[in-house]
Amino acid sequence: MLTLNSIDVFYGDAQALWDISLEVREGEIVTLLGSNGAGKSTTLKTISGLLHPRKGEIRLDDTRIDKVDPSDIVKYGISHVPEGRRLFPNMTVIENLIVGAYNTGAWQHRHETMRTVYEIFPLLEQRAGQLAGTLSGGEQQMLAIGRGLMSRPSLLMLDEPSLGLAPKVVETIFQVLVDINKKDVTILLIEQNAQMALQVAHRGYVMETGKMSLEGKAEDVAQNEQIKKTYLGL
Amino acid sequence: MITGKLVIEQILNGLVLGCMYASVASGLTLIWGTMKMINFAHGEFYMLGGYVMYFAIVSFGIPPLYSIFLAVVIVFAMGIVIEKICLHPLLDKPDWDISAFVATLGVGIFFQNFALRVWGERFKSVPYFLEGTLDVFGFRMAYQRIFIFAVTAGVMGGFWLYLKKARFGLGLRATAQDRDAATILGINAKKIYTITFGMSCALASLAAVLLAPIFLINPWMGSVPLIKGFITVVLGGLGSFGGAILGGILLGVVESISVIVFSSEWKDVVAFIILILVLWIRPSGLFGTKEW
Repeated sequence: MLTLNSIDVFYGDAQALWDISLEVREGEIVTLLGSNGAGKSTTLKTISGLLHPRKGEIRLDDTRIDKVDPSDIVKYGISHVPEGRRLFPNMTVIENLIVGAYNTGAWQHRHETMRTVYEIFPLLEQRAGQLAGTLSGGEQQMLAIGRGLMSRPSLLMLDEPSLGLAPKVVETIFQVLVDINKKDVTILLIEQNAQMALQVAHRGYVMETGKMSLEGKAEDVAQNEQIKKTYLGL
Repeated sequence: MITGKLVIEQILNGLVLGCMYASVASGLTLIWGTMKMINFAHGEFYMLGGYVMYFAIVSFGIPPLYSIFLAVVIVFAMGIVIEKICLHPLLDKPDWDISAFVATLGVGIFFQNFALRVWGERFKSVPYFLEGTLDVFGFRMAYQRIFIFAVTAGVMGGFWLYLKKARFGLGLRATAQDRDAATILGINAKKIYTITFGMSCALASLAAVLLAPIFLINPWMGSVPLIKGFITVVLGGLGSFGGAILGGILLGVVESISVIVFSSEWKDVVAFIILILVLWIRPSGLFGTKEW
């Protein structure tokens, strides 16, 4: 479905990614692990078109998307739930959701999609009129995911959805991701919480200082001695 | 002598004046909130609105209501063209704060001198398009003023709803609050900027055309509304739409009342004293900052 073919990405003159290749197949949950500054977020931003690779290519099925304008990427069925949620704090929960359906194709179905999101996160319906900035961390993350679903994506990319959340909330969020995945949404998940991520993912990639250092089935990645030591604390 | 009746009449006049301030200021605040810049040519778009109105009514004999519509639409289109030519190339380049400031200042100077060269320095007047006055409980209000109040209130209310409900309105607010987050939702910020700039100019034009019969049309007519617009925007909190409306009405009413207490020459002094006091006591404006 999504293929990154040895891409190099720069911030100005500083190279951030070296020769990154990655594949996400339809129906999968793929997790991208790595410590802070390994280049995980940069990878997602490049898929979203916020950054453009200087070398290599990104394909969605058979279409090259590495030169597409970031505001057009949603039209390809890719939705990005950014790091730190990035909600619109002075907009209500409903408004945040509705604006997630900004793309013309999704706009017509916005009420219908919102019902589905409310079924996934009943809490959001209770908070519908509240300003996003006043929600708790967990609720904000739910809203961010809900907003990401409003564009009716076939590929949902999440950047550290567990960041700063209580363990119980993290569990709920991951359960929801599994449920969403069962509804035919492919998921690319960036996580620092490697343990949780490897439990739900089919396959995993590990990045280190801008390079891909390991890839494989989630079980295999979890069994890797190096990974156990560095990320799983075993 | 100050009587209760005089005060109420002045408050009513102040509301009308306040509508103009609100309309000019909401355009300024719209641009500030989304594009993070101040449009120093805002007064000139106001002026252009006045001239389009004048030519439509006086030269072409177009009925006033159509002329108002025409002036708003033409200035909207001009705003879009100017944004495309003068601001678009500067977007996302370093020093946006300064480049946008210089560019709009240049646009303002251009239009002022264009008006002076082409249309001349003689003041032009637009006839009242509504005659007569309304008498209620002994208070007299010219229909013209009631019309100004009704139209601005309607437009502001409509615009507010538009920002809350319409697809583009939501996209505009999202871009104002977090441009990158808006972008990944499929909102093209640059498109939003262009149209927002046009809308802002249209709001300035609206204020000018409604007041055209009361003030005179001339190349410099935009400078006072621009300054009053700045005061209003600072009063209401920079970037806040609701603040611009409340701030405008407040400024209009206070100015009008000050005319009874002092005299009309002191009106602007009072406006600036209010500005200084607000900046001193509540630098973020009376109604806080963001309200998108």
